[in-house]
Parts: sequence; C-alpha cells; structure tokens
Amino acid sequence: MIQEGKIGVFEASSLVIFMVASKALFGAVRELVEATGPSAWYTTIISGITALIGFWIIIRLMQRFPGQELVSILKTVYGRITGSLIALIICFLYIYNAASFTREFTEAVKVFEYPLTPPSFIMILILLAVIVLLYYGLETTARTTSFFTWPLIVGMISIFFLGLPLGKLTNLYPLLGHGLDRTIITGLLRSSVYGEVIGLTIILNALQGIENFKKAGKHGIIISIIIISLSLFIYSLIFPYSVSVENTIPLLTLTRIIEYGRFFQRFESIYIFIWSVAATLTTAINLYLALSIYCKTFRINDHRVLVLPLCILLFSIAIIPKDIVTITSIYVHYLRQYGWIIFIGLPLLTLIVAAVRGKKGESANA
Amino acid sequence: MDSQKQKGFLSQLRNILTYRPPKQNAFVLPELEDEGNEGNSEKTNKGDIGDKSNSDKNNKNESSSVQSKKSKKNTKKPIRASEWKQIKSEDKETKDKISANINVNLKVIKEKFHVPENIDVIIREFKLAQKVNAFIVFIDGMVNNEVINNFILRQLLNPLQFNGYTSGCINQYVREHVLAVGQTKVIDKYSDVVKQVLTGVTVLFIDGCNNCLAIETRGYEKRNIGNPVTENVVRGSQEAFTENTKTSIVQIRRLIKNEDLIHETIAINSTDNPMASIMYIKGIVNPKVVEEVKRRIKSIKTDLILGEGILAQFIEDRPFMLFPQVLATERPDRAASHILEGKVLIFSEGSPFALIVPVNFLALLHSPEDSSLRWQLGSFLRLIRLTGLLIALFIPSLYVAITNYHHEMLPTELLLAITSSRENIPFPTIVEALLMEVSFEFIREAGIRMPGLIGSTLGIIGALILGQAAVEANIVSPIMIIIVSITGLGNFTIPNYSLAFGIRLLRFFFICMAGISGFLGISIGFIIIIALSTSMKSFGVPFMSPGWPRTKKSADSIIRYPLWKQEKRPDAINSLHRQRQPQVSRGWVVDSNPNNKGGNKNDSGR
Amino acid sequence: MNQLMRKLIMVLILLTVIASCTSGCYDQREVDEMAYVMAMGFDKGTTEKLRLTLQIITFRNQEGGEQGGRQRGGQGGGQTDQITVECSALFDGINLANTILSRQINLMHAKHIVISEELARNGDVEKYISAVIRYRQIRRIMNFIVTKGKAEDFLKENQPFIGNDPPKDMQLLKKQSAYTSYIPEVKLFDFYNNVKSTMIDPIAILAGVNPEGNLAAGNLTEESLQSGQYLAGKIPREGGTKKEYFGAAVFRGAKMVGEIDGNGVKMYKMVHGLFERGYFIINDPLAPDYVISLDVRQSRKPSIEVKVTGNEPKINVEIFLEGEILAIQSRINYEDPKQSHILETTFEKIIKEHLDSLIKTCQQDFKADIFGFGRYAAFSFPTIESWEEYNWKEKFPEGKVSTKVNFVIRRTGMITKSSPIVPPIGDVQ
Repeated sequence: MIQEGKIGVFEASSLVIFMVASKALFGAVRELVEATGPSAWYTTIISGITALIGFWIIIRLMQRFPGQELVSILKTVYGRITGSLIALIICFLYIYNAASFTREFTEAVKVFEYPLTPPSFIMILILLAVIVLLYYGLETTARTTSFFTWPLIVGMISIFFLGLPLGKLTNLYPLLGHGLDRTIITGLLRSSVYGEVIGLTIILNALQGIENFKKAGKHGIIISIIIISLSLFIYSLIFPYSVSVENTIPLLTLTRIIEYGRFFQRFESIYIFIWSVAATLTTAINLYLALSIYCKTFRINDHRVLVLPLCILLFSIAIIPKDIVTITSIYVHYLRQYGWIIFIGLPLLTLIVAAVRGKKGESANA
Repeated sequence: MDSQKQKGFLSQLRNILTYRPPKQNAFVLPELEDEGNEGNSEKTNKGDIGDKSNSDKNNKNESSSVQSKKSKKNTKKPIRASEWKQIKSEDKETKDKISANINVNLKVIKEKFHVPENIDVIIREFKLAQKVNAFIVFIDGMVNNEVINNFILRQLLNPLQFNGYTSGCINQYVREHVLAVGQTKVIDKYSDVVKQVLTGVTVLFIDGCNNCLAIETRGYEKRNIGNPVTENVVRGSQEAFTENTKTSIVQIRRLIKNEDLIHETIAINSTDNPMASIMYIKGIVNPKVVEEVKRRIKSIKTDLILGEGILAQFIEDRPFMLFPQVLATERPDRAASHILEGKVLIFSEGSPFALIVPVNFLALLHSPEDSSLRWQLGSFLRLIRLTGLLIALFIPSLYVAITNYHHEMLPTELLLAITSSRENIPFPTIVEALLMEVSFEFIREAGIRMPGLIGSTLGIIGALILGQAAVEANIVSPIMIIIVSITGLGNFTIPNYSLAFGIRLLRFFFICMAGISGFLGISIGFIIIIALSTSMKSFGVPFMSPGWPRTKKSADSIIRYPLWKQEKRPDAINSLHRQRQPQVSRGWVVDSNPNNKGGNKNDSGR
Repeated sequence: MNQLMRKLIMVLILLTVIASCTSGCYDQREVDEMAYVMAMGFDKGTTEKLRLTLQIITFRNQEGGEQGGRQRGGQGGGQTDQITVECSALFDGINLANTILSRQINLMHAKHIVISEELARNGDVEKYISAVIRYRQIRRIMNFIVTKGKAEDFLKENQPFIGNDPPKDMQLLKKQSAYTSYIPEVKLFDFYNNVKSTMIDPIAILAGVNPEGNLAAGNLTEESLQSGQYLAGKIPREGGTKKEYFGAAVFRGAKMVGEIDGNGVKMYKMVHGLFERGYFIINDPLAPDYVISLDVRQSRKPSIEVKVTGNEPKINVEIFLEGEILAIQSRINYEDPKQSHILETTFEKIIKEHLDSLIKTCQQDFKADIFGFGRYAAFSFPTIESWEEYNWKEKFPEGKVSTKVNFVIRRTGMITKSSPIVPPIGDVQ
C-alpha cells in the first residue's frame, strides 16, 4: 500500500472545493446558463443537493466496510478482477477529467492572454508544478491546496461583491428559465459537477476515520454549492440571457467589466492568479486520485515511479482534442452529463450488490 | 582503464534509469501528552502528526528494516572479519585504560600530546606530599594559573594535608581531602584525558592509581557579554550570547530558574573535538525531539564544526531547500521563550548563536520585540513584516510580468508613465531587472565585507550615486530603481537572516518564471515553492504549521493575541504539557472585589 | 553515480532555462514596443466600407520634440495623434495602420469607441460591434459614443482642456455624467447587453464638435427647463476644447433611430434610477419673470410596474425626487413650508410633462423601449419561451404609460429665509 500520510478535515475539504468549485472559473458556467437560462443559479443548488444525497449513499457504503477505501471495497464486493476493472474505470475517469481540465485551461488562457504560445508549452508549465506536487504525495498536495483555499474563496467572493453593483435584478427573469421541468432534469443530471467528492473515498485511510470523511465531504460540497451558485447568480445578474450564453470564459468577462473609478479596475489580475492556481491544483488532485487508485489496484508501494508516465499520459490525452469547442461542448459536456453514472450510480450499485451478496466489512476495525 | 570507465558509465546510466525504492528515514514526531492534563481535549485534525500506534508501527518497521540490513551484511561478509574487528576493538579498549604505573602514564600522555614538540602542553612532575610521584598535565593559556598554583599544587605539595591518609586509593583521598577546587572527576581512559585537557581541564596522575583526576581549572580569555548585533530591539533585553557556551548557558539559567531545565553535552565527532550543548525543559519538551537531536548530532562525523552555522547544516532536514529549518538566535531571552514553548536549544562552541529546533515558518518572522510590545502593536509589526516578505518576493517579478505580458493590468496612466520612462532604455525589462537586482546584491555584500565605517558609506554611495547615474545614463528606468529599492526595504524587514537570504534568492527564481510566461509562470513557481515548503519538516514539525497542515489554532502566529490569551503551547510541536497558563491567567479580573462584585463578568480572564 | 546524475540534472535545467528564455517567451512584448490606442473611431468610408480612426498616444511633449531622458515620466500621459485608414473591416484597418507604425497597435487601453451618426443610422453598428466584442484586447468598459458628423473630426478634437492626459480626460466622462446628468453613462458592455436583450433598447452617448459660432447666433429659446434642450455640438459657448458630449442617441436594435436632448437624458436616468444629481432651472410659479434653480437628486429608486394584459401592456412609473434650492431670483420665501408645496407641485408637473413627452416620443417616433420596461414585463412570464413568444418590442409602442412624480424640497442651501432686497430710495415701483 502506498504511504499517503495524514490529512485533516480542512485539507480534505479544500481538495473537494478545488476539484468542484474551480469549474466555476471555466466555461462550465456558460454551458449551464445556456441549458437553463436565468434559472441556472438554483439549478446548481438542485445538483448540489442531489450530490449530497449521492454522498450519503457513499457514506452508507463506507460505513458498511469500515476502514476500507473504495478500491478494496470494490474488490471485496465484485471480486478481485471485476473490482479492479471498475477501479480502473474510475481511474481513467480522473485522468480524463484532469486532461480535459488542463486542456480547457490551456485553450482559455490562450484565447485571453497568450495567443502565440503553443498549448504544449503552457501544459508543460502546468505539468511541472503537477509533477512536484505528485512527487511529494497526498500530504503535500493537500496542504498546498489548503494553502490556496482561502485565496480562492476570498478572491472569488470579492469578485462577486465587486460585481454586484453592476447587476440588474431584472436579468434573473423569466424566473423559471426554459421551464421548471428542464431546470430540474438538468439539475439532476448535472449533479456530476459535484461528483468528484467520491475521490475522498479513495484516500479514506489518510483521513483518519469516517467522521472526518463525512465532515470533509459535506463541507466541501456545501462550500462548493455556495461558490458555484453565487458565481452563476452574479453572472446572470449582470449579463442578460442573450449575452451570457456567448462568453467563452464567463467569469473572466465579468471581472473585466468591473470598474470603480480610474484606478480600481482591471481586477482580472486577481482572476488570472486564482485561475492558474486552480487549474494546476485541480489537475494535480485529479491526477493524484488516479495515481492512488492505480497504486491501490495493483498494490504498488511507491507512487513516485508512476508520476512521470502518468503526466505524459495526461499530456497525450490533453493534446488530442482539436479545438476549444470540442473540449467544452463534447469532452466536458459528456463528462458532466453522464458522470453521475459513476459518481452516484456506482456507489449505489455497489451497496445493492454488497447487500445481495451479503458482503460486509470487519466491524472490528471501526 | 577505458573499459572500466565505460562500465562505470554504463552502470551509472543504469543506476539513473532503474528504480530504487526510497529510503524511508523520515523522523515522525509522535504525539505525546501527559494524561489528565487534557483528557477532555476535543478531536481536532492534526495534519500529519501521527498517533501513537502509527509511530509504534513505524518504529517497528524501521527496526525490522535495520535488522534485515544487518542480517544481509552478516551473510555477505565472512564471519571471521567481524570477529577480528571485535578482537581489535577489545584490544583498543585495554590499551586505552590508564595504567597504575605513573611512568607508563607519563609516556603515553607525552606521546598523545606530542611533548616536547608541542610546547603548549605543560606536564608538571612533582612529589605528592613529598613522597609519591605525580604529575599534572594542562594546556598553557587555557587554564587559570592561580587555581593551579594556589589550590592544586600548593595543596598537593603540602605533606600536612595527607596526615589523615591511611590506605586505599590515594586519588579518592586527594579528591575528598586535599584539593580545594569545586569540580573534579575521576577518569580512567586516556581518550577522555585527552578530551578534557584540550578543553582546559587539568588532569592529575598519581603513581599507583589506575585512574586520574580531572580538575576544573578552565580559564581562558573570553569576550564580555555584549549587545545583540543582528537582532536589535527597542524594548526588551539588551544582552547577547557570547562565544563561550558556559556563559551562554548561565545566561539562560538566569532567565529560566527552573529545576527541570536540563543541560546536556554531546561530543561531536570531528577533528576539532567540539562539544555541543543542548538545553530543554524536561516535562515540556517532547522527549522524542531530544532523542532525535542527540541522534543527529552524535551521528555527525566530520572535520570541523566551527559553531552553530556549520552544525545547523549537518542536522537540518532538507539541505536543498532555501528556507532555514533551524532558528539561530543571539538573544538569551528569545532562546528562553522558545525553550518554554517546548523546543530544544543547541549550543555549539565558537559562535555566539544558539540554534532552536524544531521551528516553523512563522517563528522565522517573529521578533523578540513582538511580545514585549502590546499585542496590537506586535500584531501590526508582524503584518508589516509579512507584507515586506511578500513584496520582497513578488514585486520585481510582478513588474517583469506586467511589463512583458500583461499590459492590461496596469491603470492607463501608470502604464503610460512606465512606457515613457522606458522609452530610451536599451535593455529588455528582464535584463534591466536582473541588472539592478544583482547590483543591489553587490552593494549589500560589499557593505558587509567592508570595514565598518566605509561599509555604511558604501551603501549610500552605491544606492544613491549608482542609481542616480544609471537613470541619468538611461541604463535603467527610474521605476526600476523604485522597484529594486522597495524590494530591498521589504527584504530588510525580515528578522531572520537566513530566511531573508532565502527570499533574496527566490526573488530571482520568480523573476525568471515571470520572464518565461508572466503571471502564469509566477503562479506555477509559487505553487512549486509552496509545495516544497509544505512538504518540509523541521525535526518532525511541518514547516508551514500551524496553517498548512492546520493544527489547533495558535494564539501566537501572525496575529499575536494578548498574552493572557496565549493559554496553549503551539500544537505542532507536541509538547508534553500543552497548557502554559490556566484559562484565567490574570487572577485579578475574577477575584471577587467587594466593591464591584459581579461587575466584571464580561471581562473574565479569557 | 551521484555526480553524473547531478551533472545531468544541471544540464537539463540549464537547457530548459535557455530554451524557455529564447523560444519560450512567445507572447512577451515590452511596453515600449506597443502603440496604445486611446480611442477608436468608425466612419463610413468613401472608397471602402469603413474609415477607421485610431487615436494613439505618441509620448511627444507639447513642443513636439521627443521626451528626453531628463523629463521622463513627468507628465505620465503625453500627446496623442490619430491615424485614419480606409478599410473593409476593423482588423484590416488595424493592420493597415500598423504599416505606418513600427510599434504594435494595442487596444487594451482604449477608452472611447466613437461611431459616426451616419454609420449608426445605417445600422452598420451590428457589423463592427461583433468584431469589437469578440477581440480579446477590447475591454468592455470603454465609453460608447455616437458623434454628430464624422468620428475622425471628433477624435481630432478629443484633447483634454485641463492637463496633458487624454486617457484621464476620457475616463472622467463617467464623473461628468454623474455630475450633470446631461449625458448618459454608456459603456460598451451596456450597449452590447442592451442590443442583445429582448427587453430593452440601447442608447449611446451623443457627442459632437462645436463650431464655436453658436454664441454669436444667439438662438436661445425660452423653455421651462433651460439649458437642457441642446444636442451635442449645439451648445452656445466659447472657449474650451471643441469636443462636447450632450444628449444621447437612441437605437432600435443596432440601428440608430433618433436623439434625445439633455433633458431627455435626465428623464432617462430618472426612470432607470441612475439619476445622481442635476441642476434644474424652472420659471418661478409666482413671479414669471424670474427663475428658480434647484439641485435635484433621486431620493429612492423609481417604482415601475408593468401589467401584461393582451396587446396593450399597462406601465406605471413613479419617480421620487428630492432637492435643494440653489437660487430664488424673486426672493419669494419658498422656504416656508406653506409656500414650498407650490414650488414642489410646479416642479412635479414640469418633470411629468417632460417624462410623458419623452416616453411618447420613444413609443411613437422611435418605437424603442430605452427605459427597459420590458424587464419589468418579464416578471409576468415564467419561461424564456413564453417571453420570446410575447415579443415585447412589438407591444411596447402600444403600451399605456401612466407616470407620477414626487418631489420634496429637503434643504434650502445656506439661506433658510428669502426676503426681498430693499430697493434703493427713489427706485420704488
């Protein structure tokens, strides 16, 4: 088993926040607004509540197998080979997630700031930091993430507050967007936005107990709901529906129009820092989880050997999509639309199968 | 020869490419706490600090791995060799024993000290009580001659002193009845004799005894206690350590009058044979830390340890990181306050500094003045220092990034000012920045190396004339001068010399990152630096605690809480006694005063 | 082994650093390699479709000489100059302009986007605004201006009267708008948001070049609200710079359909709740020869209700104003609570008249909902589909608007009791 060290609730929550809430800094906001119109801000609350229910299922699963992390549970429930296969699917999902994240950030940053820089150069820069983080393992990744959590939250909230005076309440109408049915269905499907919280089950042993796991997951999801919902709220408050579906990097566009006199403007400098830090750390966390699953599936003792190959794999996957629209509307879109099958469906299925097959963890370890 | 080299190269190449499992030699600080003190302590997240069972496991693992290594060695090496080694060492031990024959002793001692070539070593032969052959050995200049003349030789030569002697070991009698010196010790090994003599002790050999007496006569010239040079304060104590460890320890003892304050010495295994002293308070310090400190110091095998700076480099956890992992201080009051927090103090002969371990990042930003000032002012000073650090770290790189990549981030007027000032500058911004930063480093280094009076004028000349001339000659833009000087100022606010140095170097790293890709580069660089520092540990304590990993809230981190609110010792250090004062430390606020009974309820001492 | 490893690592690091320093800085541009555009002007071209004018900072001081090393950075700003090219599209024009400039044209700090009236009336704004909005260098906080006459001419006159800092001058337009309320504050994103919106029609700041002959012509007209009835370029004045901003251009969709004068802008701001302050001059209700000056502010946001019933939406607008007396020429004691209501009702009536006439113009002549009543109408629609089906912009001209104005005099300035000046002896009427 790999040595993962120990992390606390705060660090674990910040892992979740970075995995989930940093999506608000990318094109995902635009996509949700396009799907549901001005009702996007509560659509995501619906998604979040769904995700909390999903998380409750995960907790039940974890309580059934105390002291075991997801991979070993999968192995116990489905048997060694099937369990490993399922674990590898999740592993690939995380790599895929990390890759699409990296590429999306690369493309976005190319659009806005570095039009002449080749994408591979930006990606290599990001991977440089990712390699350092992964090399030192979970503890360092989690601590670094928690270091940047307050800057992320404070930065985003301050952007929201600065943008608030520009908003017009009337932009939130028609209140139901494209209709309540569409809003709710989108909300349910989009619960996969919060699905990455399942990653906590993989590093359960580092979390020192299921109580901490519960707390970290809940805090992470709720703070993420607040951040994402607020960003959608402010975004649709400022831009009318017809404009809000246009912007490539919604929150950046929002930040750029904030202006308080001649000096207090150009707040996107805050944004760019938050943005690049969030992209790098999110890639690192996703990749670490993939790494952890892989190591646990094949019982590899030292994760450091895998860091470089995995980063090269990530790079190769990330370089495949041909343009920015392919990433946002195909890669990311399908991930968000059907990710819940893995993130919520899998734990539920596992729980049912475990109940049917009568598998249970040793309660002595609890 | 050639083929050998090739083979060497190939094996080297193979070594690079093949995987070797990492050596797990990290020291994990176990969490120890005396029971009952904090029985009701809530469960909080302790970051990486392991609980007992885990550390036990680790220890087991380590010990088993050590065993396996030993067994491997045993199987590989022929048995005879080890036996032979043992025999040899036994032989050595018998040779090291002091003989009962004084002539043998004299010969050995002369051999050891290369007498008479070595004129510093004085061997004074005489007749004890005018009968028994004896000699004392000491090093000229290291001893107090008055003590030797008046209280050793005079007593020993006087037969009246030996009236009570009947039989038995004369050493014992001499010690108990004759010598009028405070500190004596019986030694029975030549190697110890050598060590003691070298530190200024006088050793007495008497015929017929298979041991000798080490008599404390140390008295060499030393510097008086002076003012601190590098850690100045306006308020607070104004004395500093000296090169003499003994004086320094007395200085600490004067401040902490506590019977639990322990002082231990450890001989460092190097050619110059220095002693390292460690000080701590038993019952507060985590014993594992003391053990680890001793283990590290004892394991050193080197040539020259000339004071704490060199010692620190031998015992620090991460030698490749730019930040210091030990805190060097020249102030007894600061050292004392750290000892009371549950840290260990290390003195090494030859330098007026003490090392404090374990240490975290924020302690490097503290100054002893913070606690003597009122809490609001202390907190403000710390915030200023933190800001200074951030400015010193980021301002030049931000400038480079903005002027090279992000022209949009500046207010238009400022951008136009920068542009027009750069209009006639021949260099790219990054070259300009590096040029100015490097010349600033020149001024600094030259100012330190120059003799006192010239040094301070040089700083002014360098900063004023050079800056002015460079601007006049259109070599650099005036804005660059501002940037460089504010960076320098920011750097000077950092109270710890090593940390300030680390920041100075990191600045160049960030300038390069900014030159490569602007804000993105700075962010990536910052993430890397944070990752490196959060993974760093100083004697088992995470360097970035108490923030990352988050431990229990510290009342003395960036914001310094009022002293009466600082009830706990820092959590990350895992001291045995976490409570440093009761919840109500100012008894007077709750003492029932008949005049205003109950009036103070809101102001109870927490 | 270790040594070789270290050497290898060193070589690798060195290579990376060198590689990234030489080839890595793809987007690296020094500030002094840029030509900063302060304002862009769009005119209808004569040979091509578009005539683009770029006002660029030149860093030449007043004498026209190059700023030497001695005076670096002193002024901060610097003179501007403009380049005009005929081109088929915006980026074509920028490229063309760059052929005469050694430095790369940079639009990041542009403050004004100026469109000529001709272009706006043709509906060509639509073509160019999409390019402007999409381009990464454009910040959407630049002022959106429609100019009478040619944008080229306007930019030629776009120099500050005070100081030597054109960008500062252009950015202070916002303050100017807040202070006088004769011009609206319209940023590019305001304009764009409103153009795209189905609930509101956009306006733009109206600007023009003053020929400085208006004062001599002396065609001042008596009206109940003096000084607000002008349009840009028509103000009777002398001195100052020739450029001026006054009034607003009204768009239906992306096509300019008309202008509103300074008073109209005040009304516009009141309905939007953006009215910060403005001076009003009204005829004295008791002494018609005299005028009364008022400093008026909005006491709270207006209340707007839109009832959507059938084809004729009912719109109720209520505006809350408060004011301070600046001058009473007749020295009648209007401060007295008994008399102050006379002033208040008179003022309410005048504002209501103006408001009604502006709304009527918008409904009948412009057919453009510049007040954004559509936003309030949207409250009644649950979904985007039902709203779009209703087609507000068709319905707005038929809407029945009822307005109400509340005005209270809160303060009276430094005098609380007006009394007539005793006329000199022998001059008694």
